[in-house]
Amino acid sequence: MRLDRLGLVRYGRFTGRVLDFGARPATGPDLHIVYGPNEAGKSTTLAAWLDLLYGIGTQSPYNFLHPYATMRIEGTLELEGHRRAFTRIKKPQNSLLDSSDQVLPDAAILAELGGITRDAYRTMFSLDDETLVAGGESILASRGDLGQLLFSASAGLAELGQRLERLKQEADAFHKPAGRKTGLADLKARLVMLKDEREQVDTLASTHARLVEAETAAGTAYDAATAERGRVQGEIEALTRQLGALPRLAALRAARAELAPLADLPEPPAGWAAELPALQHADVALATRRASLRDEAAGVERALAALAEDPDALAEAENFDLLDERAARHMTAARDLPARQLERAEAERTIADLLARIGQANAPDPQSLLISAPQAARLMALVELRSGIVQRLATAETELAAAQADLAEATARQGRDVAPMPPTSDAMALLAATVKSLRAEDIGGRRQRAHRDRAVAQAAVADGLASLAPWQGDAEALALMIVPDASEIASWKTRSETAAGEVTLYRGDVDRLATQLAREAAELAALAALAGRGSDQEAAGARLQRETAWAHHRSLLDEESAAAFEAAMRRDDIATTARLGYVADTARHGQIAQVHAITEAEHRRAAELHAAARARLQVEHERIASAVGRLVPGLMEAAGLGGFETWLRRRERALEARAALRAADTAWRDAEGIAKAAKERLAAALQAVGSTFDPVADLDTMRMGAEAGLEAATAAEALRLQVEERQRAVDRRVRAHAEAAAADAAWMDDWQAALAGSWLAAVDPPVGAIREMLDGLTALGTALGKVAGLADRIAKMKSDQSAYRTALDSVASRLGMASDDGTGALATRLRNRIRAARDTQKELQSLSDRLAENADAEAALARDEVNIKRQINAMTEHFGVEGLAEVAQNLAAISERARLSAEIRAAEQEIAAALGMTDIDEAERVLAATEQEALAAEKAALQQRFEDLVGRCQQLFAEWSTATDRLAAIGGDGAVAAIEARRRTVLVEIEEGALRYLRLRAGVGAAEAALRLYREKHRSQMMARASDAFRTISRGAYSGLASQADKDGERLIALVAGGGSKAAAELSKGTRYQLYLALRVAGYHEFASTRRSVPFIADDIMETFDDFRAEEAFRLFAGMAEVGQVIYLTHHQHLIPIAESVCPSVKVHRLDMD
Amino acid sequence: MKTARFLADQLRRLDEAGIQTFIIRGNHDALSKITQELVLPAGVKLYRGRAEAVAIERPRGEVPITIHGLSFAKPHAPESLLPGYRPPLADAVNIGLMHTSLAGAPGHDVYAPSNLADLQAHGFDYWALGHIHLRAAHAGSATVVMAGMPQGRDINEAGPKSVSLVTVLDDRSIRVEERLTSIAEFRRVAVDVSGLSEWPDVVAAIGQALRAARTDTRSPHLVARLEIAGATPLAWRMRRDADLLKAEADAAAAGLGDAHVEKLVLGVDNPALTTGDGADPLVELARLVESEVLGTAGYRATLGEWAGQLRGQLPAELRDLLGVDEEAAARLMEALAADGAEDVLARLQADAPPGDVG
Repeated sequence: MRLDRLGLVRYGRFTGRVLDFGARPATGPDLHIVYGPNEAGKSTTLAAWLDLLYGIGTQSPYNFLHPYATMRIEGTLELEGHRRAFTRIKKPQNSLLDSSDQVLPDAAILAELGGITRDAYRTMFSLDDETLVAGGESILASRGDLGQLLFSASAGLAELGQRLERLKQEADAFHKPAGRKTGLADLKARLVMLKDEREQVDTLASTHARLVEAETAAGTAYDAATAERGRVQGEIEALTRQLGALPRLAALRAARAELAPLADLPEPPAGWAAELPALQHADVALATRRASLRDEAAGVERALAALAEDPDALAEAENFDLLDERAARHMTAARDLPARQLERAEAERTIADLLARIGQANAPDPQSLLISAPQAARLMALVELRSGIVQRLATAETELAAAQADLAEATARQGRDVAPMPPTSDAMALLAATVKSLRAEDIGGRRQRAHRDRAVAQAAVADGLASLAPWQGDAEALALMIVPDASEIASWKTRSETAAGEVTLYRGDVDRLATQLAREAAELAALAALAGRGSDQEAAGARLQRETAWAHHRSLLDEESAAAFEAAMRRDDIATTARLGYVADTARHGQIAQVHAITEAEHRRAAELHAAARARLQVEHERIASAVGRLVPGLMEAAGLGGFETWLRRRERALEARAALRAADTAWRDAEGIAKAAKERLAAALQAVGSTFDPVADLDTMRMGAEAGLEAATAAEALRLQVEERQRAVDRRVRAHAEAAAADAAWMDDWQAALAGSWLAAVDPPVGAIREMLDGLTALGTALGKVAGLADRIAKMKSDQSAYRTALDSVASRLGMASDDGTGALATRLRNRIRAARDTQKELQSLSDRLAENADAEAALARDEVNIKRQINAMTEHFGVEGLAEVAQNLAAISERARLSAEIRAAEQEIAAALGMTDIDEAERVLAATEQEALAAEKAALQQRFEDLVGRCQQLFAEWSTATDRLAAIGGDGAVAAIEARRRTVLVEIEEGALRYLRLRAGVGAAEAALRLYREKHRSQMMARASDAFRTISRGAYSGLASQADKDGERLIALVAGGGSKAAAELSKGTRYQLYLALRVAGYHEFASTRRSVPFIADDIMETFDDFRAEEAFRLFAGMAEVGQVIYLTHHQHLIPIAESVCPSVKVHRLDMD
Repeated sequence: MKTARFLADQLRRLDEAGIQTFIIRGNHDALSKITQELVLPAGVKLYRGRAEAVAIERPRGEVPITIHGLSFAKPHAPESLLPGYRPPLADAVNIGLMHTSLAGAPGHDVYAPSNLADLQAHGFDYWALGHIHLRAAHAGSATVVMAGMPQGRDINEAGPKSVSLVTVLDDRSIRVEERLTSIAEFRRVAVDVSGLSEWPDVVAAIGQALRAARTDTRSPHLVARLEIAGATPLAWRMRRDADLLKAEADAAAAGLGDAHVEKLVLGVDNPALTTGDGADPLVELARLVESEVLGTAGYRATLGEWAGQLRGQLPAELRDLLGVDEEAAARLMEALAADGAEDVLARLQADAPPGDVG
């Protein structure tokens, strides 16, 4: 298989990218290098190649630009000598298409690969750093059998050893001669378990028979025991009852003895027993009560006899009570009278004061001074209006005076000022507008700025020109110069730098090669010194002598010639031996001499290249210097090419300043023109208003003059308007003053009318005093009323006092009492005598009532006594006794008799029941015949027997139910049959497992034996190839590979050129990688020798190789490329010349260029 | 005793339904003390070691029927039992029960040998025979039926299994009906995969063979042993992925319903071994195995050693598994080694995912 063309239509970062490897070259190696810097897509290319062959996996990382659905790889492959185009898209199935997008089976490609899987292909022939190492490690890790290792290397079966080991373990899992935990052992254990289980579950026939018999026997025994237990229990119960009845018999006999003396007592009527205690109690209570009634009556009669009555006082009592109200009034008047008289004197003084205040102290009748309320109100209203009217009049007069003063002032001012300019309004307006617009335009400012800008620009041009030294000339000359452009200068620099870079590069080569020459020369000298002792010429001379001697001896065959020949032969042997001793040094000398010659040639060549590069650099320098010198003489020598670039930038800046100066000139001229036009406009406007001005003054002066004229005209107009306004104000104030005077006159008329008709009219008090006088009159009215009321009350009190005294005196005379003390004391004496008479009367009445009640109670007591006596007599007669106490004794005896009878009946019944008889006499006889001790002994014996029987019954029942259970447990189901079926299944499993074990064991054994044969067959060839490849790639540092037996089998070792050996793991990282590569190279040749080759692709696997080993690796690749296609992907540009030196026909493809 | 009691229970059910049962003892029963211990219901007749003739109670006027029987008294009966039977009863329909291997069947020892002609000459109307598990019926002057068994137990008892319903008609003629009773039927199913090169084709061939077998099977369930044979490039893959193939077959069987695959037996060859690219290391390895390993004396001796080790570990029931004699053992080991080598080589291939290989 060969890859002619790989089209990355949509894959990873690529879109429509094609790598064309062309057709297989007719002769020579088919070696390709694909160069691309980092990120150019080398790994993507490698992945795309694998995906084209084997399909794009379900998870691909190359979908970041083109999604899964659009991913597409195209390839043209050479299969069996025919070119065929394929396309791979991302699909689970049917992803391989032909050139017309028809689905192809995957086998169309895979058949050509000879069954190499994707993993094997990656491990063996599609290498990157990772797979190179991983595959190599796994080859070495398989230790042991070298045959396996080499087999792995050629077949791509990296894990053959592990696979065989796994299969062996699989077999061992079933059976291993010394093993315990094997599948077979498990199965056998299950057989044993099943046997145990069956024995546990199943029952033997003989056991069954025994069980049936035991079950029957146990049933019978249990029935018998149960019957016996019932009988014994009955006997115990009978004995228990008899023993219980014996004490009852004794009680019965005692009761009968007690009953006999009570038999004769007469039976009392029902209820006496209950009535008796109440009766006894009532008898005692009646006697006690009679004694207490008699004592009480005697006490009351004694109290009555001690009382004395007062009938005169009682007759006056009612009359005296009627005087109570008068007594109260007498008391009040005696307290109030002095206060009222003081109050009346006070009021009379107040009246005198008021009269004095209103100026009428001597008025004969104060009552006549009072005036009516409506009149007083009218006066008050007028007083309140007065102040407003006075105020209004005063204000009107003040304002009028002020307005007249203002008017006079304005008129005076008008007369003083004279209008400077007659106001012709249109012309004035025009002038005002012109002045306003001139102020806004700021023409003067613009002119100044333009002038300043122009000066600055002129200075900049001068500076710019000065900075261009040593060049001299004006700005126009500068603008006319023709200078080289930036790209031209850049190309000068590039050429110059390239030339300088070459010089440096070749100088480095010359230095390195010179060092190498010296080293090699030293090595040669050392080897030559060693090799001098046995040179080739000496050996050749000895050999020639020997041949001559032999020829001589052969012709003569005598003793002398023989001796000569022997001597010559010995010399030859000695020379040969000596030479053999130094042959390695000699070979080394020759090798280094050869290398030395090559190095000398390289050194000469490098020196020549160095000289040529220096010449080129010089030419470049001169060319640039002449070009610059033409423009600016002297600059190049002083500042170099960098200085010229700086000069060019300064020239650009000077030219820019020149352009700026031109612009400033233009602006300045414009500003001057505008100023001139404005002056003309202002002059015209001033003439129109007739104003005089200085025609040669500058614009700003003219404008300020015009502005002053305009302001004066405006002020005169304002003053005139003010005079008119003030005249109108004076008119308004004159009218207001007249209205205020009229209102004052009207009020005076009203006032006079209001005063008319009262004593006030005669007095004609001032308006301010009227309010005071009216208040005094109101208070006077009140005081007059109060004096009249007090005089009336004082008169009534005095009359009440004299009437009360008269009444008291008449009562006292009727009772014969003296009446010579004060009114209060007399009243008290009378009241005490009347109260004493009334108390005595009340006591007499109460005692009489109590006497009557006592007599009623004594009568009722006598009736009760008769009743009680009758009942007591009935009882005493019944029993024939004296009193109630004896009756009570008899009743108690009768009650005891009834209790005994009931006891006797109960005992008789119990005894009959205990003995199970109906006839009480018979039962009594039987019971009397028995003895308690005998019965108890018999019962105890029976009790013991009963307990024994209970235990026995339980035991027998347990035995019987166990037997029944056992029989039932056997059951009749398929459990045993199921166990048997499982046992058969296990046996079948063992059978199958055994056969599988033997098959696997035999297969593994056969494969191992065959592998040994395979190794014998192939090892020499593979070892030779791998050995060659390793020697080549290590540039002879290692002479090859060998295998060495150790306890696990064989292991691969590397032979060091100078003698000694290293195991693969001890090699340096780079060398180990080279060993891995050598194994792949050998495998590739082995593969290609027996099958159609496949492309070998590697992605920068030489990171750890030095340049020389890289060169040798390319030599190996070139060798592989003779039998198949080899593609090497790299980002190291320096590898390209190395590859080209080894294989001139190598094709280089660049991923970084389209 | 459990199983015996189960039998007794079922016999009781027959008895309760008014069905009589007649039992003779064969070689296994003769050994058994269980049957002696069993209490059988009244409606069961168990014959003893001496021939008996029992008449079935029938209404007056119906054809009388007599059942003759004789049980094995000892586990072995090297001589024919026929001379011990009573002669046929005149007027009655005579039915004989006998436990016999007839003339002997392959794979069975001889038990109470007898031949068909003698049986037919005895004068009975019907002979009900037992012992051999495969049904056989012979018409003639007496109908002789070896009933076989109601359910096969493994692949060696393949085919449908049944009971025989025998009816005595009013005219004394005998009608025999075979009633299928096997719930599952074992069957060997051959699948030819010669020349198939795609995995799905193989799966399809298996499905087809299973479907045909299912159609032919009368029992409710089919238990198939797939015997896959033929030369195919997929041979190695089939051996390597035998478990996957089994899963495919299981799926196909499940699709058919009531079908089960008991086991796959692979008899496939790889044509690459004979015709393929000689340079492929695996092919070369296979050739080395075939030509320079399998036949060698040393390898055979090693095999014999392994077999011997294993035989010592097998349970007693399986001692004969690896060949009853030396010659058979050698033959077996040779076949196993050839098969095993194929399997191992197949599994040494890289574990390529199924999609990558044609």
